[in-house]
Amino acid sequence: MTQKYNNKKIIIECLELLDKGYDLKYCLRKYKGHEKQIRKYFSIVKDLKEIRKIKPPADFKANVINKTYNNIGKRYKVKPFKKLLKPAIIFISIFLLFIFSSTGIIYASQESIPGEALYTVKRGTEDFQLLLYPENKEARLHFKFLNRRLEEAEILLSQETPKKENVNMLINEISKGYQNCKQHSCFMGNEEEIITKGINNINNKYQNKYGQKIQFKQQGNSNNKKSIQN
Amino acid sequence: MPSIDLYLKNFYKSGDDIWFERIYSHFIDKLYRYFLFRTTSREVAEDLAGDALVKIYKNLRNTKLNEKSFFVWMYKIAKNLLIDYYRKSDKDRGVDFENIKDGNLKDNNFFDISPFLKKELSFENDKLINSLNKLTRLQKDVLMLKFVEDLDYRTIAKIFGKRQNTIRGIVFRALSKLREDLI
Repeated sequence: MTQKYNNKKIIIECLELLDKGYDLKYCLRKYKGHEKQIRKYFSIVKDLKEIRKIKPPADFKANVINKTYNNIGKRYKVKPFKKLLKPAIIFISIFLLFIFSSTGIIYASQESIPGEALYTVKRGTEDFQLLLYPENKEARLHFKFLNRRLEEAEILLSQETPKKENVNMLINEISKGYQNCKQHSCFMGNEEEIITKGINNINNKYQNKYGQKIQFKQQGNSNNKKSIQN
Repeated sequence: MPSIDLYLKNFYKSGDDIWFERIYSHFIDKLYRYFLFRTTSREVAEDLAGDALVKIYKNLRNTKLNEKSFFVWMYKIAKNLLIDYYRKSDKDRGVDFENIKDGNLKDNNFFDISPFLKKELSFENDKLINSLNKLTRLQKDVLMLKFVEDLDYRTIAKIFGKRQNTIRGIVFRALSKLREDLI
């Protein structure tokens, strides 16, 4: 009885070991002294596994699936469009997110002044606008940008302690912008007068703040420079 | 070969028949052998396997199975089809089919096919077949699922509605009987 119980235990354990991926040698090593019994059982298992060789005929295997589809009368194929739907939705979502977030940043940057993080975005957008605008309307854009620079300079100079390098950079931009406007003949009516007044106003504020007049960098012809200083 | 689990997951996710065809390639041999050894007729086995495939295809979408539960489900479908087949054939022969229940499916059919195996399937191990014929139907079923179809104890236990340890005991007793008979 004990012998039979032991055999049962050993064989069941060996079968478990085989299921777990161990080989027969491992089992024989583990249960030394029972090799003969184990080998007898496992030769039967090996023979049983041979039955696996019995397989359905190849033509049956090939036809039965089509017969099944015919029997049911429909096949479910995911259309290529449907396969692409999910990636397309993801792509569009990312694209829209990008567009909306960049639009938001661009919108927010419009109020920025030199020295602020979004100011470069504002300037970048302006350069991009200049690239896209038709040539005949470019002049008005230059005028618009010059106005913006003047507004920025006013805001900057109205601050208690603006960074001088930012102010000087802006003054330079105003000078460049003014000359650009001259080149593109962007002033209409009394616009040049208004701009000149604005420049003079900035000049006064600058003098009040720093005790000296604006030193415009030498660009273009000297007449322009003079007109700004006047 | 990748696991049937992966194909099942993809099938449930996309519903594409391409995944069903991959699942099918995993189980069709098992299904065919199941019917072949119980009906001893290649034609009947092919018909029944075809019917089982239709049932599996129709119902798989409404399930949520993994590899193990899939095989439990598949063998239950196969068993029901086999019962229907026996009922029908016995009715044709005038047998009282009401008495045929799940538990007493024809015992003598299984493996009682030595000449058939030899002739049609070139399986020459007469001794093994004769010894297998001396086992009970449950023992033969369990041995087939364990060693031919490579199912684990847990899945086999679920198919027969028994505990895993009971299945282990059945396997040992069946192997012992074969050993006594063969050696």
